[in-house]
Amino acid sequence: MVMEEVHSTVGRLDGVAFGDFYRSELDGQVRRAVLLLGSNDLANDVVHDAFIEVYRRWDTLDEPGPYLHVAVLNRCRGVHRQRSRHLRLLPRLIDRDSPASVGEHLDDLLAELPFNQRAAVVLRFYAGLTTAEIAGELGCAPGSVGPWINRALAKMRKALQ
Amino acid sequence: MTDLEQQLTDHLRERAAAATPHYDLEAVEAGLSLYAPVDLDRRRRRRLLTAAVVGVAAAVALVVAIAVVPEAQDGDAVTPVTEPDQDPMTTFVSPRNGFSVEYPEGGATVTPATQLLGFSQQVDDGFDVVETGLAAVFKGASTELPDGDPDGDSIDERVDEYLSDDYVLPDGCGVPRSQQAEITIDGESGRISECANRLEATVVAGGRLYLFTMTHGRSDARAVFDAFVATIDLRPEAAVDFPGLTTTFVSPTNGFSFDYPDRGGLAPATELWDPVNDQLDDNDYDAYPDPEGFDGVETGLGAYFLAASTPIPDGVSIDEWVDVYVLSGGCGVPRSQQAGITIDGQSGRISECAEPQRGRIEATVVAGGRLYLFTLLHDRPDARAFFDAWVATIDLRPEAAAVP
Repeated sequence: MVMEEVHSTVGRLDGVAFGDFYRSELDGQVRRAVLLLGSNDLANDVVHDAFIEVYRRWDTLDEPGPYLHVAVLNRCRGVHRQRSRHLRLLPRLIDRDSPASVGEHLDDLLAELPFNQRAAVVLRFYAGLTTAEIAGELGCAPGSVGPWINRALAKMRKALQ
Repeated sequence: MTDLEQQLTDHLRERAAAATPHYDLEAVEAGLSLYAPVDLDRRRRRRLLTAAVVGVAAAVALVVAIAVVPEAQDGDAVTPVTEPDQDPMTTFVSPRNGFSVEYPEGGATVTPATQLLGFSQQVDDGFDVVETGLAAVFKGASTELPDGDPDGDSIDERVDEYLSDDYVLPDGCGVPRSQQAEITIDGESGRISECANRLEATVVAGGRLYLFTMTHGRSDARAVFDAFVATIDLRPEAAVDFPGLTTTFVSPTNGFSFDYPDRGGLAPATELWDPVNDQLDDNDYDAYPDPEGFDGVETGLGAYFLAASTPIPDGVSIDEWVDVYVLSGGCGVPRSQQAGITIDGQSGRISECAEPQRGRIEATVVAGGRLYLFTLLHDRPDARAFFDAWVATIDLRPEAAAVP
């Protein structure tokens, strides 16, 4: 049995089938997760797991969209946390003087940011969200967003000098 | 929008455009039946166990080498029987391996284990070694061996796997555990194998694998070994599963020294810590690299140490200043309400965060006008004991701290 058949009978929410929700959200969520994690593979795994979680709760969720957003963000945060600790040892293996493109340099700088700083930068400069919207996504006070972005930009400027 | 902001915007859009979904709806449905949370703790235990077993085998090999005394090298020459219990017995309690054993006082020497089994290149570091003075060397070690195995391997298979590694037991008898004879050690059913000038016994108790060996040049070696084994008291709850701190680091920046387990994970600070202008928050502990100004040590065993210090501004209340600038992203307990801890003779404060898979212990202490912060990030159940062992090695040297 395919998913759409399942949800055409039991998975409807305000007339929207899970399949429609999945198709409407998939690309955007993967893009955002790629920017938060810097890895297409990891991003796909994270988004996939988040969709599974939404699917399991489909009949009880009033607003699956925001729930999916938070689920993806939280999973990205967890992956970032685990990966960051492994990365602590990597500088010994990387030739920091080797030439890299500007894009690769920006990728490295983004990867070195704490998760909330990276997320705030992505949500501001990619998604174009306001401070209040970013605070809502990250579950923090609006007053935290500005300092996170400023600190992230300051670190990146310093590294690019 | 600044140049950097525009550059970022363009870069993020470019990267986003390259993102490609891998999964589809049917994969979500399939995933429902497969989805299960990852047991990180089990992974950690398995890593530990593997390392420990490697060490055990290496140590046992060393035992054998030591035990092959001159008489043993000459196949015809064996020492006459001398029962070890003819002398008064002394009890040795292992400081790391979770057991005690009695040995005859006359002529015996004991070298306690100083390291996790398999952690040191010196294999014997993981073993408690009793040179009996009776042409026999008795050794004991242990390592974590959690119940159950995700691959479905039996205990015998798991023990064989560990002991087959040359780094763990390079000169082992090589008999599969399932084919070995039975032996009882402190009421627990174990296995024993014998080969030239060597005995090896293993037993599993309290989630630990114990390994006892004896290398010898005696004709009555089994009787001597049994006499030792009869005095063994297994105490798995007393075993230590964090590594010994055997290398000293003197911080060129922060004005302290401490001992740490050296596996290449030391990352000295490259800048001064400035908590007022670069305030720590919770996320800094997840960031790579370390927060600026911190000396860090990655142990590779689910524990990451961070330490830094900074001058205390004149006229501030220490507790309030620490709460505002140092522990603002901390465990949420005001410094004045934290438990006490003594670091290098100075009275300090300690707090413990217990978030799942992301534990953190933080201690602050003042010495010579400086505020010191010592932090352990961990996912270990024995983190506090590990932290205390680390703190016990700290030597505060405020006069040696780098000056801005």
